[in-house]
Amino acid sequence: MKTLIKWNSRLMLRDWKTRLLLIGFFVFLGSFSLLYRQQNVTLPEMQLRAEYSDAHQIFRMIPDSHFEGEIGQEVQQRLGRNSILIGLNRYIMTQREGNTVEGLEEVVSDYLNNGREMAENNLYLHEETDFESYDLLQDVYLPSIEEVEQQIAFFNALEDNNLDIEWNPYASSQILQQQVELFVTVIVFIAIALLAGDHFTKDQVKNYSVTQGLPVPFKAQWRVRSGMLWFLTWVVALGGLAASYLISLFFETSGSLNYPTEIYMNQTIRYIPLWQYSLLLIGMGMIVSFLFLLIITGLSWMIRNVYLTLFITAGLVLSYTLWQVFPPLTGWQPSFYTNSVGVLTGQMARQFQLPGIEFWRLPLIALVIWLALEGAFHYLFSLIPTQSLGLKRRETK
Amino acid sequence: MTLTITDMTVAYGDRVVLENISFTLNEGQIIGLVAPNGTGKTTLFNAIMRFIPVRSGTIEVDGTAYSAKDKDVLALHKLITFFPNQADLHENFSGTEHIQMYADMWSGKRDQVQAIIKRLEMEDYVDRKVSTYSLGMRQRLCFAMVVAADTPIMFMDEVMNGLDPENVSLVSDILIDLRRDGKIIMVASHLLDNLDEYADKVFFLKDKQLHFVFDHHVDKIDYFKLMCTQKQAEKLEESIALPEGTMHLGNSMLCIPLETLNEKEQLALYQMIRQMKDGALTVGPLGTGEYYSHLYGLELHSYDRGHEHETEPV
Repeated sequence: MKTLIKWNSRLMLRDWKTRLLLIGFFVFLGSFSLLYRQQNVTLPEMQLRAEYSDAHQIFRMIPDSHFEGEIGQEVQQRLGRNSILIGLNRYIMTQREGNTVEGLEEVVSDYLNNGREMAENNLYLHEETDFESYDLLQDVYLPSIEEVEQQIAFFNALEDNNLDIEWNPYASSQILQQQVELFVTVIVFIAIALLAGDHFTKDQVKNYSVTQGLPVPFKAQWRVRSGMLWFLTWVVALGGLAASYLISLFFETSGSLNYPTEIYMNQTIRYIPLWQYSLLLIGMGMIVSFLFLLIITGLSWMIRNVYLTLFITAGLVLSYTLWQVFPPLTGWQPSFYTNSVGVLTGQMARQFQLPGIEFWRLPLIALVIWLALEGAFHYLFSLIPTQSLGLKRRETK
Repeated sequence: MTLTITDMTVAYGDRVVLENISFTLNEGQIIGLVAPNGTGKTTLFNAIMRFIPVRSGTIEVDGTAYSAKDKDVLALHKLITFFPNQADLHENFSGTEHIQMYADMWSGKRDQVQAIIKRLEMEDYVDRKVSTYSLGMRQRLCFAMVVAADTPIMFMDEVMNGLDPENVSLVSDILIDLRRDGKIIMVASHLLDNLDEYADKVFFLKDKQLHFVFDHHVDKIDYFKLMCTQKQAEKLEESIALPEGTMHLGNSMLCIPLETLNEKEQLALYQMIRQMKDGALTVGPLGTGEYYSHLYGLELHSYDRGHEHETEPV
């Protein structure tokens, strides 16, 4: 095994295609924070401005008569208070000092307290079913109860970690989150498909007689090569992510790696520190990418057309979209788990209305898929990769 | 150690390439494998290595049959190395790395790598990238790789291709050394005279079968081997009754067995041949080259062209 790893790693690293791809991915990932800064993003304060505007619109939409009476007045008061609180929070956000503004603490209060008060108001409004414009409130103004509860949990998480609300979407930690999400959902698949798509094909086409007949099973070579490509991909990826993060520290505020980030677990949204979220995503990406590498490297052994291999890979990565057309039966469908971000944030569970799509299932599903791949390629590697005629059965009659 | 092939038939679809091939090779043997291009030499190697499907037949080493099952194929590949094609070398590897790789993969004897390089006189180029090598350099490297693998059975397909006479001699010497070490070596080659220098037996493939085995260890009869044109041969036959077993090899050689001729008759025949203009005579047993001409009807058209004015033989 040591010998196999040694010579295969030399073969891989001497290959200019592999080198250029790895360098290319490192440069792309390493400079991601610089590229991201060129992008237009909506600042949180701008989002609050929009919310502030909506809060004013609701007063115009609800007839004055509905604000009469005890309930009406209470609702009007709460809506008015919300409008003020949004304004205060927007002001706090524009000052970029943290959760309050120094010297004006008595006036603007604290972002988290304001937020909590708004959330409580909204919960109250949810309960006022006797209010005459209740439906209108539900339709155009109020976030769902789940969303309100998530907001409260988010504020609590911020307070528990003694953190300020992040005003800067270009903060290093925020870019890191965006980068990790982009990498595990798109870039990693492109990287491994390009790296492994023609891996064994090159052996068969260019180095047939030097590589056939080695006293090593193809299955061992398949595992070793997939493992090594996986290792190289992730070394470059983690290196690139680290480089990008470090570079961003020179240009932007650092943000916090403890910043609360939502994940979907036990059929509910929770908040965990950003570093834990990133590690979870990277772990999921590592598992999924290893399985895909086994598939792609194996396909490169049986298909000598790299474009076909890439096409099949793209099809597998996007196969979960099939369940938008056909009814998905269970949250154990392996195809869902190619979208790691969607699974971890609960987006997939919501989209396909399968609450069971949760990240902890991935290792179990991966184990089953891995065993299935071992079985499938056990059969395939019993065929003969002839130099010119494709695969042949080895069995004698 | 023995390698025994029994009733091996190989076909590409309906086209049968080899049929009922059977032979046994013993340790310390070099076997030449001879046939015109496209008659199945490489196919035979590929079939024994199980690089191609075998329709029927068995492959045994030391009496143990190696079937087409993965486990058996792997075990077989531990015993046999197949001479690589020089075009298949890794262009961005050095020669030393190739040799080390084969040593690591098979024998694990890395300490012998430098000795092999020295023996094959490759020191001056072996550390350069293969992409800079000439044909002959690559061929020597391929040979060195198989030597480094040090398996008990070695298939040397077209091993002398692209080698100059000096290197042909060098490789031949090493083949003889390997035989001394007890290796079973099959050499497919078109250098027929060279095969006679070291091969214990030469296998001739013809009509999909192992048509003839030329055994160098069996006593052979002497021949007058006369290089001449067909017209000269015809004139000679008109002048004297040649003994039974006389062979026309293609259009350029007449082989007359001496076994049935007494000394006087041999002398008379010799004197008659001496009168021929431009005829070249050698005396000795038939070699692989002569058998090749005989079996495959080799005609040297260039010989005809060079002697087209020679019409007066006697």
